[in-house]
Amino acid sequence: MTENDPERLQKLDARLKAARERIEGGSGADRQQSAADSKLAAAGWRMSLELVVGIVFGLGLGWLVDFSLGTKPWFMIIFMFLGLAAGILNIMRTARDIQRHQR
Amino acid sequence: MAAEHHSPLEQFRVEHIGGNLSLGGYDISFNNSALWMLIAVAAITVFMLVGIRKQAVVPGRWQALVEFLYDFVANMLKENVGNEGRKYFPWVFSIFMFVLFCNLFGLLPNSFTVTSHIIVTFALALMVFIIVTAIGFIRHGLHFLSFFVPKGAPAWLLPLMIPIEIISYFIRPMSLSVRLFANMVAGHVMLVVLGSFVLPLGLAGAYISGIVPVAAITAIIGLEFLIACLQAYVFTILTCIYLNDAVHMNH
Repeated sequence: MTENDPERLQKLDARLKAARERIEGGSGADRQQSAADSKLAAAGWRMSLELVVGIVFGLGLGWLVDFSLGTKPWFMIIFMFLGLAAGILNIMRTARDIQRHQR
Repeated sequence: MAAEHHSPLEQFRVEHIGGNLSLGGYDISFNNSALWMLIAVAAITVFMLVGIRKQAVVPGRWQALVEFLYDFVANMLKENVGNEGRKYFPWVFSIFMFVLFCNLFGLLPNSFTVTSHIIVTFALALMVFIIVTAIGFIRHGLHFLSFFVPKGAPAWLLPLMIPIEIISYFIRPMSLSVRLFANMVAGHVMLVVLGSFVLPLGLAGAYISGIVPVAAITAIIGLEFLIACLQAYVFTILTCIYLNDAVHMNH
């Protein structure tokens, strides 16, 4: 008869409720927070390399043009700055994406 | 032990498995990198097929995991590309699963991290780049070239802006591949370097001192699991963003 003991069932009910509140109330907000955090972290990873890769790509491209045209340092310098600008452009776009998502 | 040469970079060595094969002057021997790629693909296939075998209305743990990954990528596509992105789902999902499994399998002891080689990540990134560009040209025709002309810029700035836009488009596969490769290499090198401290420190001090690097490795392994998942996520979300650029042609 223990299974139908109303007092015991009520106790179990209360414990279940408390446990559910503890789990859902607590980590529900936590999970949302950590999802937002990992989104921002992903954006950070996106930005971190753009500058370096932009400059290196610009340098490589400029060297290639110089190599084939024989205009030794000039295109390398020009393309390095263009690459830097391209990197900054990509970073600004990433930043704008974050702002758009936060709104 | 210490006299043996254990470079932290030794774990990235590509070794032939079986005999040497060559085709038209190229080395096409089977190696450990290809082996772990095949293992990753096989594991993904088994993981997905077993997960969806029952197709229960109320999913079990395994099915719930498969459905979670599906929803995760599907939502990412929907958020970034919109409804037109739906038909590219199989491709994006394959990329995500392949990078995720390669990253995670790299953390198994004695395994080989496929994504720690820049040629592998660059091939992946180049595939993304070529397919996305092709989609852009197929959907918009030559009109896709106007993607490189920034809107609202004064005409006299265009000779400067167009090369910048083109370069910023072409550095995409590079930053995509370098990011994944550098993260994987850095993490694995750090683990081996810290691991090499354990024995000397343990022998040097009271044996207790060897515990310090072990504790650090334990913490960093946790971080590596986070990075393995996060980098797969970053790779995939960037694929989605590039896809969005090609489909909708807005920056």
